[in-house]
Amino acid sequence: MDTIVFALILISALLIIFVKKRWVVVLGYSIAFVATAALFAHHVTSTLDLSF
Amino acid sequence: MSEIHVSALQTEDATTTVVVGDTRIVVPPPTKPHHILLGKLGFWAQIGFMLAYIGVLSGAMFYFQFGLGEYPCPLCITQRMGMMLSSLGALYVVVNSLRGRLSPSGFMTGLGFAILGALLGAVMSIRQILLHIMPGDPGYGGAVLGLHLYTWALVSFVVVLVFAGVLLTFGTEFLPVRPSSTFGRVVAWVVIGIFLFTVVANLVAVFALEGFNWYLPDDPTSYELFNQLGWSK
Repeated sequence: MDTIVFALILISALLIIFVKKRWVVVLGYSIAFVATAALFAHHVTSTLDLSF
Repeated sequence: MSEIHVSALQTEDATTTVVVGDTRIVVPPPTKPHHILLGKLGFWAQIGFMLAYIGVLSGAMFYFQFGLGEYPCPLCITQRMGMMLSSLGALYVVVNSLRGRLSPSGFMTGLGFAILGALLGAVMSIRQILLHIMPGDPGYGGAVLGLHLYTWALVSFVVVLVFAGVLLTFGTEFLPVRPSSTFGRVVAWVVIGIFLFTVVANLVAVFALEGFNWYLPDDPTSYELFNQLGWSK
């Protein structure tokens, strides 16, 4: 999954460089962003034993 | 009711054309020395932003991971992703500025990317700081100037948020103006190339660490790909 997310970030960077249409760039960034957030959510496996 | 189409485009000679419906308004390029100066400062500030994160990402990977042999934890990897997502904002601004098509609205898109990436990265680094906040906890991995890498990551994300906040406060004053010299533009493209190389290097390094598994273990102790291929000693 981590490898795929880095690939999505790379694709997003290439879209920024080579594609003029902004909605394509925003779509690419959004997919990479959501994938990163989902990966992070997967690794949050426990609640913190802290009180605030 | 008919829709009125509004768009803005900065052309090769830094002239901005604003189209409102059928009306075309040509805004001349900045002529006052301080406007040009601020625009150039804005451009190189975005390059500096990219260079700073290239330095951080390369330092983490080449010094701590390859030099000292530390294996990055899954949260460390996601923070690298946050840094890259944030840097994509600067990349967007720099590329469109170099191509002569950066509009004020495009500038805002780039800053939006930077803020969103920094916010996501900050959440990740705060999570990791809280995991190790109890007194006596040694933390994860090595420290630099007394702070662990995930704490420095949070500092960097806050710096990005402040950077974007300051630029937004000044509106279009710092709307990047691309360098007039060929040398300056070549330097900018080289920085873009190094950024792409950094992303590719991280992709390869994490593939070696993760192998053909879906996720990294919580505490990696070897390069899984080499184990799976039978290359490990």
